[in-house]
Amino acid sequence: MTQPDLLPGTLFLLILRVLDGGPLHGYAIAKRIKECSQEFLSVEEGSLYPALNRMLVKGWVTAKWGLSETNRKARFYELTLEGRQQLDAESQGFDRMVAAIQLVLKTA
Amino acid sequence: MSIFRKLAFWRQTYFEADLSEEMRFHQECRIDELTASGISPADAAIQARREFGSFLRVTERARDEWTFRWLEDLLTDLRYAARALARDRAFTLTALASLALGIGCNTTIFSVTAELLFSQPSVHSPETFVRFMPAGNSHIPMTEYRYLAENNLFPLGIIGSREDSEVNWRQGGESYRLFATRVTGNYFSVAQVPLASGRGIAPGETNTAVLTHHFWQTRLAADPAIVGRTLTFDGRPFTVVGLLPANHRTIFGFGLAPAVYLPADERTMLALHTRTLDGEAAPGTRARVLAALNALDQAHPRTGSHKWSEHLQVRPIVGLASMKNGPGNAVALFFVMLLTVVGLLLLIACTNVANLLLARSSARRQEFAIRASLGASRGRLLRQLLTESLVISLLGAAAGLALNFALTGLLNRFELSAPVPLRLQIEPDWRLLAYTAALAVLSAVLIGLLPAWRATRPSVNEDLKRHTPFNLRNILVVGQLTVSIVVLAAAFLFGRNLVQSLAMNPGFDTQQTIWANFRLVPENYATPEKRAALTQAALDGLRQLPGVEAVSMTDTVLLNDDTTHGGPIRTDLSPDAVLLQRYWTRVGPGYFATMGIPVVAGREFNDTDQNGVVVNEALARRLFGNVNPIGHTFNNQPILGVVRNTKYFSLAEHQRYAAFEAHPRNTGPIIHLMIRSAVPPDTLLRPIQQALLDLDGSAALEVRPMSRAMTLALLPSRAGAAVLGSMGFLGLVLASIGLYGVLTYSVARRLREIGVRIALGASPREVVRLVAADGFRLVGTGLALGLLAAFFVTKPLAMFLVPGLNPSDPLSFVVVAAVLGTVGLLACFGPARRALRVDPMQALRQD
Repeated sequence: MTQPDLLPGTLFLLILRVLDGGPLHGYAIAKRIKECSQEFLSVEEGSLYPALNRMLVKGWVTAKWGLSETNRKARFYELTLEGRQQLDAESQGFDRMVAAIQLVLKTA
Repeated sequence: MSIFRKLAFWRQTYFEADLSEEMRFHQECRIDELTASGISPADAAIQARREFGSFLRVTERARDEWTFRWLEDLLTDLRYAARALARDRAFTLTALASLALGIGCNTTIFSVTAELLFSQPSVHSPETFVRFMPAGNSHIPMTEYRYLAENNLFPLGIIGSREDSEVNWRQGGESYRLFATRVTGNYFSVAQVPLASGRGIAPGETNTAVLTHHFWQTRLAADPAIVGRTLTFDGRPFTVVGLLPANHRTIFGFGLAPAVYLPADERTMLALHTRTLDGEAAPGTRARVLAALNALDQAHPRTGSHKWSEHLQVRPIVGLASMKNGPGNAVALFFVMLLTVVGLLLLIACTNVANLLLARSSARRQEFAIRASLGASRGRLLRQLLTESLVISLLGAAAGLALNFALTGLLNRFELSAPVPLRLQIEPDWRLLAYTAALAVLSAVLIGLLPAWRATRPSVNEDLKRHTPFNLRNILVVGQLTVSIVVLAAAFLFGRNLVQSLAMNPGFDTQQTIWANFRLVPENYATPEKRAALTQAALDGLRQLPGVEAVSMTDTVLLNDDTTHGGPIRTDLSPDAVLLQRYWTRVGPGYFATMGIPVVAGREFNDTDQNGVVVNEALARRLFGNVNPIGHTFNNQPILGVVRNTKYFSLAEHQRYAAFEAHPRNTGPIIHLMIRSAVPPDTLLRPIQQALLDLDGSAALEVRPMSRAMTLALLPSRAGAAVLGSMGFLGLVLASIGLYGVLTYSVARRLREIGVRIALGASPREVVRLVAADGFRLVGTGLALGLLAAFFVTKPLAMFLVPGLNPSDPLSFVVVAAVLGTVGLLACFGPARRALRVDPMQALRQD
């Protein structure tokens, strides 16, 4: 099970993006990231929950207890307005960063 | 603290329940998924568990995101500091006492400064008020005031008041002399003075009064129905219309505390205040006032003196600008000096505590080493040590604040009654709290930073092995000695100043002279003839008393009242008039003999003189040079005599010009009688009182020896000596504690060396020399540096000292050096004795 490390700082961006589609619980967030990256990226549980808590502290997301698709009690995370702004800012920054790195890789 | 903990606890359990349930859910989802892909439930559970990793680690990392890490650390540090301080009680008490004294003295001086110089007068928006002095005069006559007030020259109003007038209050068959502030009818409405009950004096009223809280409480037993009642002032009934609140402060500031406010009358000289226009700057106000005074000059031309519009002074009544060029200037400088001295004192106290902390932190090296090896970072250790010093300084500040309350409480009760009543009303306010908090933080940094930095330095052992004279503790002690010498030199200087002032010959006799202040009810003496008759009767009656050598009278009592006159002087020697500021008063026959002031040429006034002038030597020399002035004229009056220079209003003044005229004996209701006694003055007080009351029992009377009537003249010297003396003493005690501590510590550190020396046969004398040499080196260096610093620092103090006392006088430095040297020697004594008691066997076995 060798998985590439996430680029530092991108975990928040991924979580924010995934939550942009609507509220999800922790397991679903991890699963969704895995699916969307075609199994390439996998979020470790050891990083996911601290990251979610950090986002709660920052006010980017809110958490509510609800029922999962299997009718079990689960904790759903939802983007706040602040979280949405953060997502915009972070994805733009990420785009610029990727473009810049690619420029270097192509021209140098 | 417990609330914080509870809150954190509640939060934590709540958070942990959420998280563990969430993680359980996560695993269940994973197990479901794995089971769905065909793995047995048991294996699926194991795999899910393995994938997830440590629950505990996730919990901890997630919790870190939530909790206020620094707050938890701070609470831990505080708990730890409290325990550490409680364990080392001797250290804690010494440190607390040092800081409490340092901070207590600082805040007390601060409180007094704030009250005296920066308290707000009880008027509406005091910052818009200015006081102005036409022709440089502090007060102007009612006629001129009326012109300024009634010609619409000041759109926001102009008010006049006389702060220090006297009044005779008759109550229950007795007469008392009271201080009254007389105000124009619009005063209360323009200034909008807050009242506790009733109303202010209204325009046109001549027989209403507003009482101050202190007078009402102490002299009228706080009569709840006082408003509407009638009091007898100067023989006339006045209706009390209002009562001022306890925190009333006059527009003049400086703690002036009159008993009553009364309406001004035709003879009242008035100080002038007006309001500035909205957004008007100082030059604008000045121009406006100047225009009004130019109009006054047109309407009421002044002859023989400066025009009203000349030498105009305008200054605000609050803020720093109010102190410029005014009497506040010297007072402000005095307080700046005091604040500097107490600041130095706090520095000494902090150095002491820093030194104690240094010694303590070297003793706690082991503790830090263990904590460092357990993984505490240097920053973490630093923070813990700084928390400890912050706890000490906060506790010290709290104790200092308690000391401040006690001291200011004492000061509030102290009342200066002569020549004008002054009383402080210091109340703790946010300024005091802010200042105390700032001092606490400053002290925490001063006492904590160096020792903490030192203690947490990676290789502490390295520099402890070296024995150099330049270690931090020695530098601190030398610095402390230096500062305490400066403080001590200033203290000694003020002590000498007091001695000199007390012993100073003001140029007249204070030992055998008595001052009787006889204040009549003006209504009873309506005509000048009646007044003259009573004055003559008083003079004659007192002269009859056994033990009385001479009796005379004056308008102005030396060192208690001041009258400065600035009009032109013409003599027969020159066609040009000279403008000179001079002390000017009218005195009765035999005045100079009564006061013991020698007449150096001519004669003094006799019973028949109606005109004529007596001048002092300074004025004679200025006007006539070497020519004998007797027989020449002074403003067309013959000069009768020349008398010695004396001090007229303050002991610090230097050779003022003075001119005297003959007393007409029928002036106002106040008669100042001066009596020369051949017997001890105290034995004559009762007979004088009796003789005067026999003449008029309705008069208010105060009789006291001149030696006790010099309160105001000696106040600066006394206050300076008292405050600086105690500061100097405190500084000395603190510095010697510091020296003692350092020497004791150095003996403890060299125990082994001393043991070896004793074992090898060193005599007790050599051991003592070893210890004393250390002490002497420190004291010597401190002395040299301190004397050098003191020489320069005390120079500006000359302005507070009586003439003739030179701050650079070597005597001061010799005495200070001797005192500090002796104290230093005593501080060496204890450690040296300890060194002598060292048992070589034990010392060698140590570590």
